[in-house]
Amino acid sequence: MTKEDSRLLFERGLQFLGRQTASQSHEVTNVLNIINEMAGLMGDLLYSAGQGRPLDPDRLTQLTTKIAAQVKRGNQIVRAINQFGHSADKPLAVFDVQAVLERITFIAQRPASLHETLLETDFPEQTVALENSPLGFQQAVFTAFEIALAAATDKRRITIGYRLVSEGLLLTVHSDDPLIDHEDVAEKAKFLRLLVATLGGQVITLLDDDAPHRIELLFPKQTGEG
Amino acid sequence: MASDKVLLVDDEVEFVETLAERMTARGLRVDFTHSGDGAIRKTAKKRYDAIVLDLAMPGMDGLETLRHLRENHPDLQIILLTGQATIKTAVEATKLGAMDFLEKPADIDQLIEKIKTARGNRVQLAEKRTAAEIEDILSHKGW
Repeated sequence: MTKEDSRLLFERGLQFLGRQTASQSHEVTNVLNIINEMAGLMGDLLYSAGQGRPLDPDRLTQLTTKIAAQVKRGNQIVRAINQFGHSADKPLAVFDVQAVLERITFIAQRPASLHETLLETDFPEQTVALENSPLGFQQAVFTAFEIALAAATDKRRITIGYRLVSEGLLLTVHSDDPLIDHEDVAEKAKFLRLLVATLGGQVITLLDDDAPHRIELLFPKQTGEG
Repeated sequence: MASDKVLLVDDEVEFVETLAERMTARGLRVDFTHSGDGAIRKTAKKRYDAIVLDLAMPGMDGLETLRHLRENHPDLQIILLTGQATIKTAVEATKLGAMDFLEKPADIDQLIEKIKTARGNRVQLAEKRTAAEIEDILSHKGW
């Protein structure tokens, strides 16, 4: 590996950590914003009651239920950030592929939604364990998702899935739209190849005219294989 | 005195509906929409004293919506609301003609004060335009 590749991996890894943390913290702000307004409305209703206006207990119950739902939403986001942050604890670990993919898909929902793209998953019933860099694996999945997102038109669909094959774990990112090979995408594709190779894997399909809707990445079940 | 007319634009449904209710209870006339496209459609049909516009929205984002609205309605007073304020975004928003910039969660009283300021700005701009039109008519008639 060249010095330049090494520096690129390091810088992009930090950027990935930083961008996802920032993005999810923005989601937490949205939740707090909603709770702030609902608490404010409760305050308004109680103030009006103090001024002699009748208080509707059903309205208050409705508001407390909505606040509880937002707190639950906020907890999910914070849990995802926390687990994502901890995925950088060890450069090599055995991890549950489905759990990690569910987390990175959860994180990817917001950029998908901003792009008006539906992000779905297609997972087998039984999960598998993989030994690799948990953060690197998530970054590879997210980079593949970003390539598919760059190709996605409004209101289309991207599906992330995986299955076990004889050579290891085959991860697929499928887009309803064919993947467009333009400047931004070419640069991301080049980085994805470098990252997957560093993780001991292979890029099986990427910006391939024979399979224009798919990205396929193969990871050995344990590093040192493949 | 007629109450302020406000359009709220935010993709978070719970937030915008709750804020609309609170503002209405404080005497404002409030419409809301959940997208930049929705804001463009509403402002084509109705005049508002102020638009409160979220920055991060699916499809057309806040800055793109701001640009469209200012192109078609140069007097429109737009207050940007964001959960991730950066200097870069604030500068870009100001260049595109945003009247003001608030971070979420915003204090409703502070927001309403800014809406009142927005209405004052709009009235001043309308008066200036009327004065300029009268000046123009008078200079052409040669009275």
